[in-house]
Parts: sequence; C-alpha cells; structure tokens
Amino acid sequence: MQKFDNEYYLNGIKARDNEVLTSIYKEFLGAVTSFVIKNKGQQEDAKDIFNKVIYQFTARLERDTIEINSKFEAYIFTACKNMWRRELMKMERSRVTNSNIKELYYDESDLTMATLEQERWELFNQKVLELSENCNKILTLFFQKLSSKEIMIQLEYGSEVTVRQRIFKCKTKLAELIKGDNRYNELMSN
Amino acid sequence: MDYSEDIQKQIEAYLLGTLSEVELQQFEALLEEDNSLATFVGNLKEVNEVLQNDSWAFSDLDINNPKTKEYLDFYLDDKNKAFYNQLKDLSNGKEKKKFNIRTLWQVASVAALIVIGIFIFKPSNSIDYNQLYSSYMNVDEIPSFTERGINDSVFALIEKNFNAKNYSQTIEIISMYETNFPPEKTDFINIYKGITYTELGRYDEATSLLSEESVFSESLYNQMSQWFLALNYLKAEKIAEAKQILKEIAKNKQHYKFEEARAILKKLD
Repeated sequence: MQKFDNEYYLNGIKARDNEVLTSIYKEFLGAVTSFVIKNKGQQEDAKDIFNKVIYQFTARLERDTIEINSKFEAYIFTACKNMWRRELMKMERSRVTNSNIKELYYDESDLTMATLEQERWELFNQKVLELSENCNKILTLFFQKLSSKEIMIQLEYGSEVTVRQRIFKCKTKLAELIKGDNRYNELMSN
Repeated sequence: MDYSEDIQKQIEAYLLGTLSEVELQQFEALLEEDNSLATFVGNLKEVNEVLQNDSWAFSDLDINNPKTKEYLDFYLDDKNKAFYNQLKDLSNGKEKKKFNIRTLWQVASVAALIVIGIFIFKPSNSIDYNQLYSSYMNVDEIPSFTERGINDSVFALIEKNFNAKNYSQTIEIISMYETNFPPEKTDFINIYKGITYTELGRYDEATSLLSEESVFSESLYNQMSQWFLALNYLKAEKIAEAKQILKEIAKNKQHYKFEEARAILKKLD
C-alpha cells in the first residue's frame, strides 16, 4: 500500500485513522466546497455533505469493501456531488410537499437511505461501463438529457429513429445486467 | 425481450411523460394486462430514475432488507455517532477530542423536546371531520420518551420521525426494532404507532392498537389511548363510534382531555 493511493485512503477511513482523515479533509474538502458554492450552497453545506460522505464510507467499509474504478479524489468528489444533488432534491420536495414542516434534518434513517442509494447509483454506473463502448456513449448522452437529434449529430447516426432504437436496446441490456447482479436485491426496497 | 417499434415508442413516451391523457390510460391498461411488459417497463423506469443526471432516485426504508437494518444499526450506535462528531470537528479545523456521551444525550433530549404541529381550528357551518381531527390532534402533548426517562437512540429516532410527520418511516423503524423493546415500554410505543396509523389512514390498525388495554394498568396510557381512538374514529368519519368514546371521556372530570371531549361533542351534536 502506497501513501495516497486508494487503499491508503480506504484503509485509513476504515481504521478511523486521524492522520489519514486529516489528510482527506485537507486535500479534498476544498474542491467540494467550490462545487457546492457554485451550486446553490454554502461553505457549511459543503462541510456537512463531506462529513456525511466520509461517515457513509465508514459504514460501508464496516461490512464490505468499496470498489473504486477511479482515483480516490474523483470518487469522493462524485459521492459528494451525489449527496449534494440529493440534498437539493430533498429541499425541493420539502418545499413542494409541505412548506410548514422542516424535513431537512439529518437522522439515522436518512443516512441509511442515502448510503443505500449511493451504493445503488454506483452499481448502476458500474453496469454502464460493462456495456459496449457505443452503448456507453449513447446512454451517457441520453442521461445528460440530450435530445435524440443532438445525440444523432454528436455521434453521427443516420436518423433520430436509429438513435431511439439504439437507446432502447442499450437500456434494455443495461437493465438485464443490473438485475442479474446479486447486489441488486440487497439495495432495493420492496 | 423484443417489442415492436410501436410499443418501444409508447414505452419511451411513457417514461418521458409525453403521452396524452388518453394514450396514458390506454398504455396503463396494457401494463395491467401484461405483467411481463409491466416488469420490463418498471426496470427501464428504474434505470432512468437512478442514472439521469438532473435528479436523484430516493428509496424507502425497508424492514425486510437486512442491509438496511445493518446500516441503521451502525448509524444508531453511540460509538459511531461519536466518530461522526469527530468528523464534524475535522471539517471545522478542530483537533480530535474525546467524545462526551453526556453531551449526546443532552443534544438528543433537546431534539426530542422539539415538537411541531399546532393547528388552529376555524369554525365553519358544515363539519369537516378531518379538520376537526387536525385541530385536536396535538402531538405536543404526548409525553416524549426522554421525558419518560427512556434515553435510547432508537426511541429518539422514532420520536424524531414522528414529530417530523415522516409517518411511513416511523412505522418502518418501530417494526424493525419492536421485538427488542422492553415490554413496559410497549404502551407508549402503541400510542405513537396508533396515531401514526391514523395519520396514514390505516384506521383499522389504529383502532386495534388503541383499543388495547394496558397490561400495566397505567391509567394515563389507557386514558390517552381512549382519546386518540376517538380522534381516529373522527378522522375515519365513524362518528357514532367517536361520540361513544367521547361521551365516556366526558363523564369523568379527571379524564385526560375531558374538556376537549365535551367541546367536540358539542360540535358534533
């Protein structure tokens, strides 16, 4: 294990090693803070989601390993982005459903759900990487909400119909891969 | 699974929410008839919900999922909560410090005492039973677990969800842990659970729970459950049953909610 590789960080979090944790905060909190501030948040929000993400990793590492296909820096940044997106959606839902009730507290049940949702998100994304390169590209654009026409132009397809058919086939394959993974059932609520 | 071009178009339009009202009705009828199509569409819908970049797919607590219970246990553990506080200190640039468990309970006690739900009743000519129910359903007056000397993370979590009106979650958490509850605590858990069922519109389950006599002969509990049973009947619009219980309550000046029972009876008559 080399200092500052993925294993170093994950083992440090699992062991709750103060030195490793301090270096994680020092190295990575800044980028997350910039992202949150640019996206309707404040410094305190950034700290909050960063703490939650590290805490979430600790919970996951207690029972299992975490599979990371990128650098730890990118991984933690994505997990924080997801957590912040989740918070923004929660605020929005709370505003729409009942403005009188303050639901934006964090509690253990919410942390539990956030952890399972993040794991599910990772599983689904891992499965996208198992698809062909072509499917991977077209679905990435589709989930970024590009129109069939935009995808047609960008990936040089002959027609929008072909794009739609291709998306349909790729999504069907993706759903099969996801359902076929043993981890899927663990992460889904009935 | 191979579907015709036409069905594929319909599925995509359904997932994008672009079907007209008539088309939507027709497609939903098709889904009801064809289970395998319904499963297929459900799978694609889930893929969309989880992976689209501009939203987040929320899930629900599921007591049948062992992983859910494991994580919840982890987050309820005091040692882990102490670690979480250390993380907060780190994010604020503070040194690692020893965690004081008393502080946690002080914070938890304050949190447990934060209550919501003050409703103001506005009189009207015709009786709106739901509004009448809301105006008398005041969760502020239910003794908190902490007030009853129960300092436990699970109870605090139940109370927090209950006070925040997260009723589905309240039921899930109670169901997850109720086999571990000490028998003498089940009375007050039943009050929380009963009210939660009422709020969720599960009136029969609420009736069954709130009709149970305490095995510990705690009169306050029995009186409270009677009151909440009457409110349950009121919300369920079972007015005869509600009146019967309210009349019982109104017979005894010492009874919990004696005045309120009389006031409701006046409105119902």
